[in-house]
Amino acid sequence: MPKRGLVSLILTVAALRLILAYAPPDDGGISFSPDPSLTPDPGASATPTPTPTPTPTPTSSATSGKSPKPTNTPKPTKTPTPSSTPAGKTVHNGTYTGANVNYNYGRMQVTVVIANGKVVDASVQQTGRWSIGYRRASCTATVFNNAAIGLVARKTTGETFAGMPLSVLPNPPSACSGASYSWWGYANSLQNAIDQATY
Amino acid sequence: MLEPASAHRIVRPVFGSAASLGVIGAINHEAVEACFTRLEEIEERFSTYRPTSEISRIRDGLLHLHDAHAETRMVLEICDALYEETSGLFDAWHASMDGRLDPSGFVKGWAIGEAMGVLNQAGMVNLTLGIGGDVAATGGGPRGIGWDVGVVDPLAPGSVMARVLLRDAAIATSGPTERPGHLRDPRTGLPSASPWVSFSVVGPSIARADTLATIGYLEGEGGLARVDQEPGFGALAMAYDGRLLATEGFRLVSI
Repeated sequence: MPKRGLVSLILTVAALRLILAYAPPDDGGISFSPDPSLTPDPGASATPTPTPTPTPTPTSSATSGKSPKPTNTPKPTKTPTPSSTPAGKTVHNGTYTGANVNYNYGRMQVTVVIANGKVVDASVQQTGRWSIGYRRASCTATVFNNAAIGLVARKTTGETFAGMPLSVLPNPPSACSGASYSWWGYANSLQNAIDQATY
Repeated sequence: MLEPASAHRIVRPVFGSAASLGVIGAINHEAVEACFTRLEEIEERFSTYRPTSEISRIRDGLLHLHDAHAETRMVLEICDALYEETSGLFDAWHASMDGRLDPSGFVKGWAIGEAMGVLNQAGMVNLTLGIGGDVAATGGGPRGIGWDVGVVDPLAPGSVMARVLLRDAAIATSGPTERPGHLRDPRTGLPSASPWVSFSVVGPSIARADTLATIGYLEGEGGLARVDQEPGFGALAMAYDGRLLATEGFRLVSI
């Protein structure tokens, strides 16, 4: 497959907090969002990014199994004002690793990079005992993010998870079959990482 | 070339999972609402988790089959036909983990097809809709040649083991990763001892693909041959020992 340019979709953590704070009606809500995995030619000029991207070298390896490489977190030139964070809390730049969570075949851990008040990258690392090949490409962005972007209500607690737009791999698929179960593990670890950044 | 702005992703929780709708072109908001309303209607009628659903009430002996909605009866008749076809392997009446009624092995895929139909009839044709790992696709996708859909490697979260190009076609995946302990083998009454860690089926119908994925997974080694006999369908299976096997029908759409 031809390599394509990295597509980055940046979401401010403030906006993310807003989503997280949103309590959906019982039937959930619809979120409309541009989706990089659906973009015909995700070249730099055609990036469907809602905001200009001062992206700090996204770790191109969202592939699982590889240790997420924390990029150099750039110094914020101006401090964002996350208006929708919980009272008295702000989102702090840096690299945060979420809880090491179980899923069916092992454990996984999500690392997010926050810069300028925005989530600029996230990666998943498998920490369980399973390690098998067949990794032709990564579905991380699609399965865990684009395919599930928006809201998923966790009805038992009323909590919500936000799908996380990430720097995605070149040429991600538009959809993925399978793995709905491990998505929950991902969402839990991701949520935990975001919580760590907000204090 | 389509403008990026015409690509959208719409997500809503449904069936204890997330429905993810990919759209190329204009969004008909009324049709999208009708699509999700239809899914909610199906969930309300068929959910095994909602005690008020017709399926739950039939299961609990509170509703007689004859008094159920025509759609409920139709679905259970299809399930009965699948029981005959598979010599009892697909047994909706004893499919739950405690051996009671659970037609989910048919309902999820069928529901995706129903929801896609609502959108197609409203003129939205370039779409992909996925729920809980089953994906239907109509139209040419973002590049006009079909929708590029990955098959997730169940042993490595976030990575794919295959990719297919779907146009007016669907893919469904069964396996223990869908939900823990989700598939019960009606022959033994125990969680399935299938050699497969993942069993995917591609084909022109999401309802049939989903059903065949469930059957193929439960059937074990013979599952591939069963799918191979079905015109237009193909299967990809991964075994616990890492073997990755595909039928010709799957290789045809593999990219």
